[in-house]
Amino acid sequence: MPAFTEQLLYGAGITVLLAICSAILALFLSIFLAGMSRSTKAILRIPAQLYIDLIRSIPEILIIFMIYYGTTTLLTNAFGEYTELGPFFAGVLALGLVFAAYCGEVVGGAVDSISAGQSEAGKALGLGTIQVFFLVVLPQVVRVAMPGLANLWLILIKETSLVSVIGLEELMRQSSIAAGVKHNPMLYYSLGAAMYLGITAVSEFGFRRWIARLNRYVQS
Amino acid sequence: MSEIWIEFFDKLPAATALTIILCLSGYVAGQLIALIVGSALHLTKGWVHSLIYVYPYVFRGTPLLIQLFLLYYGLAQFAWVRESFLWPVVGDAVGCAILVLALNTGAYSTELVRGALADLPKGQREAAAALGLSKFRTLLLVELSQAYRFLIPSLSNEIIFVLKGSALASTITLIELTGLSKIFIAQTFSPFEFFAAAGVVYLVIGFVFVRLFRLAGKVFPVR
Repeated sequence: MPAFTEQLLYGAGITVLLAICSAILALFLSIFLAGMSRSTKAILRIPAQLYIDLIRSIPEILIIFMIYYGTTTLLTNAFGEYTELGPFFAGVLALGLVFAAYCGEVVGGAVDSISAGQSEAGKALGLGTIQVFFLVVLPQVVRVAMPGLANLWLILIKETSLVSVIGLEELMRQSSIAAGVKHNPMLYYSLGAAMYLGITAVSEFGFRRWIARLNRYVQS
Repeated sequence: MSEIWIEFFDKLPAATALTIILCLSGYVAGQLIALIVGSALHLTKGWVHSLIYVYPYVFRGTPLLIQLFLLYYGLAQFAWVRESFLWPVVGDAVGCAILVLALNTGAYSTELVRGALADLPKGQREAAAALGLSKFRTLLLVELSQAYRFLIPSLSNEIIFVLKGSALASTITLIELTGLSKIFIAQTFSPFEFFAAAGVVYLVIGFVFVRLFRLAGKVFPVR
């Protein structure tokens, strides 16, 4: 085992934690975005569409910088002394905001694909609005949206490496530190890359099984 | 307008030009890679296929940033690389950034090309075989031209990814749009204005690219 393996593994843990927190924030925000971008009211629809289009063509690294330095400036002005979110939370906020736009499209598309007959049938059985949503619509939305969300998760894992530019000691940053100290960038960046590959490979395997499970009652 | 903005707008054209150069060169080179590797995957089977598949698998499974650092800092470690004919490309920050962008988008596009070729109706291949065309000539004359018509929308997404990826070149000292705005933020401590300015330029470039692809989609419709 080369030196710094432990630090790299620790970094990989931070990477996964960062991705999970960002994914939760993104999913939460995406529900509102999906609802807004499909609203019949222009006052809701236009801002959501504008947000999605903006986020899609601006580099993530620029958004991460903007959130990190921007929140620091705002908080410092608000409190009168130097205050910052810290790289982890700034990273979660930035990636959450970015991926909400992409998740919104996937979730919205999945909701569209469930036919209105499903909720009508639920109502006919005497279920309330909330029950119809959680018992009838949501399980089907999850099934349809999951391949798209799995794909976004794999992209998210890779995008977390960008948070290293604001100093979070996740896998990318730990690889850089080790490469610098040991004067061996080839070895340590390869090790880091192999760990990213490991995380994405395990995720891919897990999602494939989960999607197969979600589709177990579907007749082709 | 304050002096700092005059300085910023003075340097903006060069930074924008560098962003466009990185994006277009990386994209074009990446598409060439995808055309060759995607076709090779389509024509091969068994262990040769698996061996070729290592390339898109590795480049799609790891972050662009680590690929950039691996090639930029990692390759410089070896004397034989520094003495080889490749050094003018990988030793130079611009050359290295273009190479990495090309390899990265090439890996994603390889999958797109392979998928589009595999999705073509089987009748096309059978008809070509009935006419006595070899596998290679079938690919060249029948399959590729059809596959690429389907691919135009996906390839338009891909150039936006390359545009966004080019921002990472700022981490290896290049002063493109993101690098330029970072320098001005360090001087002024006002993060929103300069990042917003860079963001607007990215939006405009992206908008032009998407429009051009939409035009291409009209000129070469799916038949």
